[in-house]
Amino acid sequence: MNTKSSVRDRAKVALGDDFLRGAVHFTTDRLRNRKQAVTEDFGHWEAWRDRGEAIRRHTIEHLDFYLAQFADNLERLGAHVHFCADAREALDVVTDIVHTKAARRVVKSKSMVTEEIHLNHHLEELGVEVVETDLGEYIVQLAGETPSHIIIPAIHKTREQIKALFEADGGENLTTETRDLVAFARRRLREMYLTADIGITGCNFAIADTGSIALFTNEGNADLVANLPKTHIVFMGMERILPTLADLEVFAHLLPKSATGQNTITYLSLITGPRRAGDGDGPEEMHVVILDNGRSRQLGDPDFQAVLHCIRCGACLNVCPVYRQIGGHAYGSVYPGPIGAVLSPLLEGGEAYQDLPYASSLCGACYEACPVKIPLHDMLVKERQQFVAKTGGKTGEKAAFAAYRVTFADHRRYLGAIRLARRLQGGFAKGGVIRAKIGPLAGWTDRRDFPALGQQTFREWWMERKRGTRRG
Amino acid sequence: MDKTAFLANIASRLGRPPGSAPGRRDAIGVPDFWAHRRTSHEERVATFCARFQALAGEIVRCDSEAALLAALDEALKALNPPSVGAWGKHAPWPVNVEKVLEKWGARRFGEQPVLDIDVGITGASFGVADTGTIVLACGDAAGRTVHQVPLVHLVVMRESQVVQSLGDAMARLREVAPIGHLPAYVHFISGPSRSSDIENDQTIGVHGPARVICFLLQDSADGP
Repeated sequence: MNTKSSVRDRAKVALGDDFLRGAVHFTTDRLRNRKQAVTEDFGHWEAWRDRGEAIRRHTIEHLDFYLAQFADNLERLGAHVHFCADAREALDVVTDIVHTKAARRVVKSKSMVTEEIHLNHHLEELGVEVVETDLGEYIVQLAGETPSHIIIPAIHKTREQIKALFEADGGENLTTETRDLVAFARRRLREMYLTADIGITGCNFAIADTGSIALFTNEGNADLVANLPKTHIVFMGMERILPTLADLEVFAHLLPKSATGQNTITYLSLITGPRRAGDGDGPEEMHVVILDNGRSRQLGDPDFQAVLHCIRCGACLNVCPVYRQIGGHAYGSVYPGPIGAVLSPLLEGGEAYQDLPYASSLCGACYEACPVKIPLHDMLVKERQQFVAKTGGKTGEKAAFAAYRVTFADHRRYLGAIRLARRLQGGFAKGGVIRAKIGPLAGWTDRRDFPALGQQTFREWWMERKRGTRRG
Repeated sequence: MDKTAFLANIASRLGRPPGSAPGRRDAIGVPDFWAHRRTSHEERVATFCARFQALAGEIVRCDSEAALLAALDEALKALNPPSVGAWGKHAPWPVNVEKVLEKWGARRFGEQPVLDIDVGITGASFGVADTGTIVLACGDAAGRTVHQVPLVHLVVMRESQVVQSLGDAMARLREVAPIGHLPAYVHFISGPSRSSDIENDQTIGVHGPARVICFLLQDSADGP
């Protein structure tokens, strides 16, 4: 999507939207501050991060073993496990299930992987009604939009807009009070759960040694999606694995604390296969779709394998100075923010999203925030390097850096260049700053002052001082 | 794609013989300082209550079974719900509350439909002090929907069921898991259903219960 416009064009649109910018500032500040408070209270945060990183690294380094163990355990319990190399294969699996079940309606809980393969669009083409049940996703779906934040999808919507969307969906006598709006959503979505043929969820973690799926939500929607319809389909990226149930405790702390600054998630469902003989509820049939879709290309690559450690908490979004200004849609990809800027070009593998690694200040705040210590800022630099190596870079940029190399490699040339620049700035520098929007400086001076060169370089000052000392 | 080829591709990218077992792992589960904490029964119960209440869960502490039955009955009087549902008779109830369930004509899971109940009454397997969580291992007469669909969830539990950490609860689940595997559904619940999706305005009762009230029976750490 959005392959024709650039992140720069989309950012311009976002920067003109005052409500969006206010909402993004408010939300990211709130989540970041709460995270800081909860991790301070919890204590030993760095030790927890180290542990999280060690577990994720070990798992990904032995991914074939743990995936096989997970799949074997699940199959033993009667679940169907599907391994899919790409979006096409995953969608074909869903088509088969929909046809076998003659399904008319599907309820879904939040899953980034299903966004990645455009599952909803596919289901609609099959004539199946798809209903998102996460409140934020439901709002975004009614608006015909895509999520703008991994954790809070409808960050960009006002309550007036939400009321209008709910009225169009059959809501009567609604106010803009949160209670009213939520009560409508509860009633409406409850009908959907009870009449859906299939429930589709994502998967926060898959536990290899028990064959379990762990789902985290605050609303409790995934739990109803997984349990009320007769068929449950789980979508998971192939890297979602943890070796043991004991490891889940680590991530039951890292994920909610990093994502929203909550000490714990409200609901954690641990699902181990379809309903058993004797169970009076729960799905009769369970399918787990395990998706590669560009992930295995990162394995064995020392620069990028760690991107598969990600637990999709969104903490990197909340600290990113670029995300803060432009919001999620400007990235134009399913995954926004720093993780999106790294992951989108990697998963795509082609030309798309090559501009995203440039939408970063490389400040490293994302790495500091990451609960599993993924060096996102290093990866962004390496993606830029790869991009330049592949395309040869821009002619002007290459010429500029060639000139830079020549000038800065020799102190006489350097001094000559400084003297020339000092003479040239003469007319523009006032009070120690340059404000004129001239030449390549305009990109900076358009909004800020550029510091003018001093009357004297350090070298000149040093030489003068030495001469002075000798004289005295 | 076929499973063998899918896994072989991963192994080859990682430069591993396909399916070979990992060597010994140093970091399993939580760090030692967390796993090796020692707490008393009283501390665990106090932390559990404080954490559960901080998440807008409600706790009613009862010093005898009779007091618990009375408290449960009082709560139902105050709620005065059109319909009440509960786990089946043979579910693992930590406290026998049949008298109250009979009085209120509770629909029993497995015998009557529960999808439209207003109040759901269940037991629980564990309480977790660290996170203020109640753990429900579902299956057979302990239906999943009994506590998921109603607006109010009443849960009865004993103090001796409170463990310190999520890891303790998970380890206990594995110990009792029938024929080597976990129940098909285990639910970890920390307070009422909540959302901040409308302009960051915190609200409860979106999909799950808006109230979760835990009736906690005092007993010793050794259990009943």
